[in-house]
Order: sequence, then C-alpha cells, then structure tokens
Amino acid sequence: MFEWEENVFLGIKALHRRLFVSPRERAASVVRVHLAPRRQQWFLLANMIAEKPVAVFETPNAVLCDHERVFLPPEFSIASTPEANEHLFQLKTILAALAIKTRVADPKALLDEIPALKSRIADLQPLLGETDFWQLIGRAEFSRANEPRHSKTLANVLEAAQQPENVTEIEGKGQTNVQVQLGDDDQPVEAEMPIHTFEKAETLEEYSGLDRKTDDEDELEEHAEALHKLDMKHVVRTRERPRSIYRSDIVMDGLSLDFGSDAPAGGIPYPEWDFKKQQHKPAWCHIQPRTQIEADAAWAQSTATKHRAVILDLRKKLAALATQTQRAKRQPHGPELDIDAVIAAQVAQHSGHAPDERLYIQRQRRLHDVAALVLMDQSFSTDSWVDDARVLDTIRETLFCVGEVMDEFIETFAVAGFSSNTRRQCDFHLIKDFRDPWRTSRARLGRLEANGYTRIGPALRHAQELLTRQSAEKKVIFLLTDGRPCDYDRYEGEYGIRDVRKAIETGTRHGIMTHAFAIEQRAREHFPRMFARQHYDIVPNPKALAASMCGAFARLRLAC
Amino acid sequence: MSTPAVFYLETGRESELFAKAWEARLPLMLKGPTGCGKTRFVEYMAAKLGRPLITVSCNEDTTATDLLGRHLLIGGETKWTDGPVTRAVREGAILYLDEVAEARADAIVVIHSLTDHRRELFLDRTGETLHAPPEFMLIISYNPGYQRSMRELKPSTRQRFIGLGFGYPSTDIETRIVTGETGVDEKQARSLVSIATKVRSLTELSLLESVSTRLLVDAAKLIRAGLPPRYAATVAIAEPLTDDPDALAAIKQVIELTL
Repeated sequence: MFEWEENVFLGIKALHRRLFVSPRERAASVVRVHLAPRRQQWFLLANMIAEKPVAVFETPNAVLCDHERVFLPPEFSIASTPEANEHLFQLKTILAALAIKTRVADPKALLDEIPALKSRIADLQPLLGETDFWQLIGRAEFSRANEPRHSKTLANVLEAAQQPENVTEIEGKGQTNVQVQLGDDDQPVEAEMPIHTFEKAETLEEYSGLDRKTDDEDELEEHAEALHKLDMKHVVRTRERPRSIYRSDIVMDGLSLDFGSDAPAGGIPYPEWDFKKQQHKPAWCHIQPRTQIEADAAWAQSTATKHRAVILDLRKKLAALATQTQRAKRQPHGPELDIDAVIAAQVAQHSGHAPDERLYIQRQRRLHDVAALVLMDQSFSTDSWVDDARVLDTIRETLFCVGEVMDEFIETFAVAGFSSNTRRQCDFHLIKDFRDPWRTSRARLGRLEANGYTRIGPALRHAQELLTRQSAEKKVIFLLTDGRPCDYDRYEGEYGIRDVRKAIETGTRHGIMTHAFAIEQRAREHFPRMFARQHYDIVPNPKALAASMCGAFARLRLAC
Repeated sequence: MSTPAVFYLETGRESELFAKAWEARLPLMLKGPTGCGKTRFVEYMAAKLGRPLITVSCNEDTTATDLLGRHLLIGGETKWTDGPVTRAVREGAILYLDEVAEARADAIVVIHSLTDHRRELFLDRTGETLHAPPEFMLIISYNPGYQRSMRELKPSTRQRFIGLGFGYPSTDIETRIVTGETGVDEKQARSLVSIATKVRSLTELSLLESVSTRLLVDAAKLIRAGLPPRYAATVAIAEPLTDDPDALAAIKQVIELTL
C-alpha cells in the first residue's frame, strides 16, 4: 500500500519530469533512435553478415557480442542526428556479426572484411562529439563459457491471493554476466531481512539477490521505472508463484544449476536429449498425466456467443477449401459428372475398347485418416496480459473456436495442456481425448489455469506416445507456445531448444509431424532453430491465430 | 561426343556419372534447390551425348494419360497421340521429368516399369508394349523440402533411381558461372556471389527461398546491360525473394555494403 505522502511525491515527480526536461534530454529526444522498431531488420542483417544463425540481444552494456549473439542497446541518442544514430545501430550490428563470424574480439581488426566500413565509421565519428566510436560499441566477449540462456527473472514476488487474474508482465532490459543463486525452495519466505523493499529500489544501484518479504499486490507498473534502473548482476530462483512478471533476458555466467536427486518421482518416465553429450538421458523427465473433468459450461456458452462471428467465418472458409480440394475425380458414384472421364469413355468406345465406368466426381469427407493432438502451453507466461487480454484466455478462446470448426472435419483430435516444475513434475492435462465428443469436452477449457514452466520436450514425447496408439494415416501435433523452452532446473536456451528439436525429429521418424504456433513476434528468433521450415506459423495477433490453425488443418488434409 | 553449345561448369564428377549411368542404362534422380542448375545440367549432357531431350514439367494435375498419350476424337474417328514419355521411348531420347513429386501418384507409377531391368512401357489404351532402346534414359528431378503440400516421393519410387544431389556451387565456381554466362568482370561477379552467400544464410530462418544461381546470372545480365549494380542487384535478387519489409531492408543493406 502506498501512503498518501508517497502518492503526492510521485505525482509531483511525474509532473516535474514532464515540465522540466533537461536541455540534454531534450536534445537527445530529438535524435534518439530505438532498437525495437528495427530489431528484426538488424537481426536479419546480422545473420547475413555472420553467415550463420546469430541472435540479437538487447542490453545497455557496451559489449559488442558473444559467440552467438549481437548485443544492441535499447536506443542510441549520442550522435547529433537521428540518421547518425541509425548508422550506429547498423555499424555495431555489422561489426558484431563480423566478430562472431571471424572470432576476432577487437572490432578494429575487422575493418578490412568489408571495404566500405572504414569510410562509414570515419564519417560518423565527428557526429559523436567526444565519445569514441570504438568505446561506444565495445569489444566482443568470447572468453567466458557463457552458455546462452533465457530466463525469467521473477521480481516482485507476491503471495497469491487477492487478484488472481491480474498478472502484469513487463519486458525488462537485458543483462549480461549474471550470477544466480538458488532460493530456498521448500521453506516459505519467513521473517525477512528488512533490507530492501521496493520503495527503496529507486535508490538501488545493484540488486544483490536477496529474498525479500513479499506483500500482496501487483504493483509492477508503478515499480517498472525503478526496476529498469536495476543492474541485475545477481538473481535468485524460487518456486513461488509470481504475482507480476518482469521478463528480462539474461546471460548467465557459466554455472551449473543441476538439482540433486530428491525422492524418486512417480509418473511416466521419458528420456531427454543432452546436446552436449549427444545422447539421451534415460528416464529423465516424469510426465504426470491427468485427465481434466472439471468443466465450466457457462464459460463455453458465453465464449460460443462472443465468438459466433469468428466461428461462422472460419467454418465458411474451411468448407470452401475442403470442397475445392476434396473433389475426387473418376469415381464410380457421385453427384457430378466428370467431363474428362466422359470424353475418355467416349473415345474408348469409339476406338473399340471397354470404357471406364468411373465417370463421376465425388466430394469426400475423409474422416479416418487424420489424428491430431493440440498441445497448449499452460505455463505462467501465458498468465500475462498482452493487448488488454490474458494470453491464456486468448489461447483458450482460440482453441474453442478452432475446436468448434474442426469437430466437423476431423474425427480424431485431442486437446491437452502442459506445464512443468522441474523434470520430476511435468504435468500433462488431457482436456479432450481422441474419442471424447467435442460437445462435452469443450467446457473443460474454461477451467484451465496457468501453472509452472514450459518444458516442451517431455510433453511432446508423451503426445507422440498417445498418437502412436491411433490408427490414422496422418498424425500431427499442433503446439501452441510462446516459443521459449524453460524450466526451473536448467531447461533453457540452447539445451531446451535442442531437446525440443530432437523430440520433433524422433516423432517425424515415426510419422508424427509437429506444427507449432506462436503469437509473439520475437518467436521468429528461436522458432526456426526448433522447428523445420514450413512447420511453424508465427502470427502477429491473437485474432490471426484461429485462422492460421485452421489453415494448417486444411493443408494437412490436402496432403492426404 | 561433341562439344556442346550449352554453357555448364562442372562442380564435381556429375557429367562422368551421367555418362556412365547412360551407358549402364540406369535411371537418374537429381535433387536440389530451385535454380541451382539441374535443368541446365541435363540440357548440357543431352547435347554432349548427342541425344534429343524431352522435358516434362510436372504439376499436381499431371496424370498418366498426360504422360503416355491419349486418343483424340476427330470427326467421329479416334486417333492415338503419343504423350511425351511414349515419344521419348520410341525415339530413344533422354526424358527429363522436372519436379516429379508434384505429379499425381498414378502418373509416377507408370514410369516404374521403365526404371528396372524391363525398360518397357505398357500402353493399356492401345495394347502396345514398347521396349526402350539402349539410348533411352530417364531422369527425374525434385526439390527436397520445397513442397508446401508436404508431398514427397514414395520410397518405392525413389529406390529405383541413382541419386545425384545438387547444391549451390562453391564461391569460386559460382563466380566463374556468372562471368561465363554473362561476361561481367570477375570482381563484380564475386561481389554478387558474396551477396548470395550472405542471403543464403537467412534461408535457415525460413523467411525466404534461397538465392538461386539463376537470380545471380539475371543480376549480372542487368549490370552488363548498363544498369547501376546496386539497382540491378535489388531488382534481381532482393525483390524476387521476399515481400517482408524488414528482410528487404536488410538485404538492401548487404547489397550496399558489397557493391
């Protein structure tokens, strides 16, 4: 709770900031160029120059790159014109990509790689005032074995109670060389060292990884400003459910964070792929299967009403696609004459042959040749809000619409959700089994809640297991996720991506295809490393998701 | 063997393999991305071996009838007309079925009997069985990983062929192809190839089809015809590849850095 004095102070501070802009800040705001709008472009440029897959990582630190990532700041405003700041982004991207390609840490040594660079940098330097270009872009840091990781920093951890539906998520700044210590998992945070509370955070230079006592509200937006000033050199992991998520990419110092074996876990064991050793860890993850029975009929009813237009539209589009492509020519029976066949029969008769009697076009509904399993990410990250809607709600409602339409086209499809909390606890919630009627299963979607992390590998393997028991000719898994594999116990970055890729490859060998969907634009940067070409769709907004999924279903049926 | 008029630059031992396969009467399958020189190679080899070449571009409507031939109805009379496959067998030509995976399954099956020791073609409409002469050769091509429709050749078809994988040529060879084909100077050809190498590293991100050697040759032709190099590369390389504004902007930057 804020005291009233605090509110007055914040109000005056905000007013002050709006009215009294420092001259330096005013000058900077005119020429400032942000990373976000052109991030994709720099990402592509870096990939081309490096001639191998590299990622873009946002961090204000003056470091050029590491062995596979180009580090770019959120903005440049140091040069005296916006064009020059744009050039700074471009030149830093190019030099970083060249450094990654050649493994040369000092960017000055890279000038000869592309002849045009030297003059461009010479042109830029006068516009930078006293700042030295080379200092500004920094050097590459290959030395540390900093394994790439993406992780969520759970800040402002509050006890789950009062407003369970309201989780805010803010994209934080990136941070390199982070130390992680483990939080005390099983003990609830008790009487705290009363050292840092978030009100004080505004004065913090460096957050040093202490467990703080948590209070009961989601105030992330109020604290965002303070959080952005944090220099997260040390972070803590805990199992607590976050009330707010401050999502930030961090590069951790090479540390090992394996959890010792606790008590043996129950459930169905599945292997996991270790790309460093190039072998499977046998019986590493344990799937805890659960069939969801609780349903929310009111939710189903209101969703059906709310999205009636969408469902009708999808149905129309799909019906058109299906009839257009499902016309089987030269059939013994059918509602239409096949004119080519008629002519051929006529010709055969004239030339003294027995004419073929298959003269009709049949519109077929092939129901027995496809089995699909829709696998949705149920992790905490789907509990956040994007565009005034909770991601989980969007996914649920999309699935509802898709299910309404698909029910008429595909007989065997299942819906399941997954989340995890370490390898011992990989939950797999079966919402609709293959033979369950959609009408009775659909309301179960309404009772889905966000939970845990995103360990995609075991969920995929279990889904494949379920599909192999189906007799259909084509088998496919549709995966809906935010695209970053992560779990509490080191299932992150390259390790997670390789495990997912391995699981998909194994499935493909057994005739099970995987098609993935994401709403997030950033998924562009890690999806291609997990999924084969043509086997994923990244949609710009939730609305496009339903259409994209239906399109994939339709393509699948065409391929039969 | 004569010296063919078709320009083709050997990247491995492919022409030797082709000639040996032709002598041994083995059918050949060419795999590779679009515009990497599969068709040109076949043309070159047909000219080199002095055999006529019959090319069929297959699509999803290509049926067995289209390949074998059909009776036409002319004023109450029927007349048999050979399809391209039948004609190739009769003439002892080199038959090239381009993008064969696109054709319908029944169309692919009719060539099976041509690919094994029988080397014969049965025309059910006329009751004729044709035996392929020794000069006849069957070549198919397909582009792995290109079909959006997830169509692939059946193993029973694939295993009837010798496989020859085509990739994009190495930097030096591709440079020589571009100069040889168009007459631009070597430095410019090398820059174009270096642009292509960079753009090809984006292919893994699935944003676009890869830059084909064909597009490079087109760019070089435009440069040769007097267009400014950057502009030529933009219209011949960047624009045909993608409509994505970010990807376009990024490729243009690479072009500006290189040319």
